[in-house]
Amino acid sequence: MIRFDNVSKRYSEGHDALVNVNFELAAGEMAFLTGHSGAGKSTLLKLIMLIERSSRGQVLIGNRVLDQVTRSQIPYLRRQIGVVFQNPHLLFDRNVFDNVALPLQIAGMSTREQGRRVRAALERVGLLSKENDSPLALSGGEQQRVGIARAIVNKPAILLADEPTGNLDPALSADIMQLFQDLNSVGVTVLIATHDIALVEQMQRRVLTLDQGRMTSSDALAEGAYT
Amino acid sequence: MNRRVNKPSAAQLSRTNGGSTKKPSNKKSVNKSQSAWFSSSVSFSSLVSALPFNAWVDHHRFSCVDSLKRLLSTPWQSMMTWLVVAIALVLPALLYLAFDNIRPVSEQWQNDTQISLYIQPKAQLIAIEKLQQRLSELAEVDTVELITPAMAQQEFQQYSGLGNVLASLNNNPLPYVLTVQATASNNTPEQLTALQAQLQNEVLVETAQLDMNWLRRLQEIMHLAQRVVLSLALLLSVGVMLIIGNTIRLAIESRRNEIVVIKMVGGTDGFIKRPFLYTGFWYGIGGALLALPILFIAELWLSSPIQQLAFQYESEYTLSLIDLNVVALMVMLAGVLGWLGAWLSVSRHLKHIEPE
Repeated sequence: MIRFDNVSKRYSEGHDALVNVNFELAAGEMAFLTGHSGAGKSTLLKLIMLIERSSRGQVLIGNRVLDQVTRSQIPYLRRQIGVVFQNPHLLFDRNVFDNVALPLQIAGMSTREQGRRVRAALERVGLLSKENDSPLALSGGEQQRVGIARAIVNKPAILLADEPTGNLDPALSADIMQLFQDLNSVGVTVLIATHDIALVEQMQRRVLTLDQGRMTSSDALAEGAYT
Repeated sequence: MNRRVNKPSAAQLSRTNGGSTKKPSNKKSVNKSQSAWFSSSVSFSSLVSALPFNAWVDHHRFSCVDSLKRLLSTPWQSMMTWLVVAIALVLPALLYLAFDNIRPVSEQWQNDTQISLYIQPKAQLIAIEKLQQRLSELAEVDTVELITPAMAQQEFQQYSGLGNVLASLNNNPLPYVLTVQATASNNTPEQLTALQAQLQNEVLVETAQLDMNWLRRLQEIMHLAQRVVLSLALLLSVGVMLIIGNTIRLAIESRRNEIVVIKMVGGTDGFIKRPFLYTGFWYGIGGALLALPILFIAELWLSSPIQQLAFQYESEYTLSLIDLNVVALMVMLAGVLGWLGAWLSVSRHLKHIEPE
């Protein structure tokens, strides 16, 4: 589903963010992307989202070479990739429902279908009762879950998360991780960037490790690989 | 381009998954129909999914109404922009109005242009009347009027203020005059000049006089005025566009976060631009609507001195109010200008707002 072939990314100021990265994530797989801050985790996710383009090598999403995706096609690619950030980027001028419905509005879905899907997504993250609330009225963990609901409401094939638990205490973090696991269990390919090693260890999933832009391990789950 | 379809079925996926996944333990979030969640078989092969037409219309309608609501929710701020736009529109509109009012007058003057034939002093009245008859049968000539010295003296006394001087003379020094009015189709300066030359050759005619110079000057002045109004209108239109563009730039800045999120979840540029384009449109329309009462007040204020002036020129002249077609045109034009200003601004600034 996600494949990196010798991908390098050098920013215009000469900083090498990624160097010769190779890995493949199968459809329906769940993996963690770890490494110190500045190791290139965010850059890797940005390449998948086409927020950045690779300097060398090729990124393939679902057999599609991203180099060949034109600027005007990017929105349609992004509709099929859900993304969750450390800061959930909610819009405070509208309620929870409308925040989650945004990707569906963009896709031009009928209002009825939107309602159905939004409630399904909110139910999945356990916030159905808060659909009419302002995001401001929610706790940090709840806001993050609204962000996740928005990321999955479109039923994307791929879910990316960049430090999704960075602002949350351990108990809430575990909740969120469980949510990702549930989504994965219904077929979503999940890639989570985090430096929370303890959490990664608990999850017992495949781990991709970046160190100064190089991928030092990309093995399928091997016990103790990250100790 | 790789256009192979990649549609993993739910069954395939669960197979891929099966080995490493443990059953989710979370109680509430387990869906009754797990496979239904991933029912959207994902295809990256086609990256242009045309928006359904209905949805496109809906978003236009939504953007149109929502942008107006947003403007009305900050009335003072919006009013400032509307006022600036209104003032920029009133100026050329007022000039246009003035121009529009002067034009029929000048046309009337032009239609009134006649050739005055001053008859030899010794000519007999009968001969003059014969000439009048003959001239009025010419194709180019509409009417020929005879002004006797007595009539001329009376008129002269009435209007020139020199009546007493004339009255003090023993005999009337004024000659017979024939005034020749050309037909409407023979009314251009060139044709009139030709006619004048022809009439000058008549034996009885001492002088055939056609005062064209001032008419030509008036025509030139009218042309000049037209250009001034037009260039001013053009300049101020650009001004309106820039004002609205700049206001839109601020609106974009204040909604930066929203734009980033929309880009992130796959909003096209068109989707992002739409509300701003409508905002620009409403700024233009609102400004034009606000310009109307200002224009109306200005008209009322000007109409009285204009009537006084018209009275001095002995003309039954009333100021014509700006007509409804022009009003409609102005409002629409302002809307288009606002839209264009917003488009320029959005196209320029949207590129710099990308997810980070």
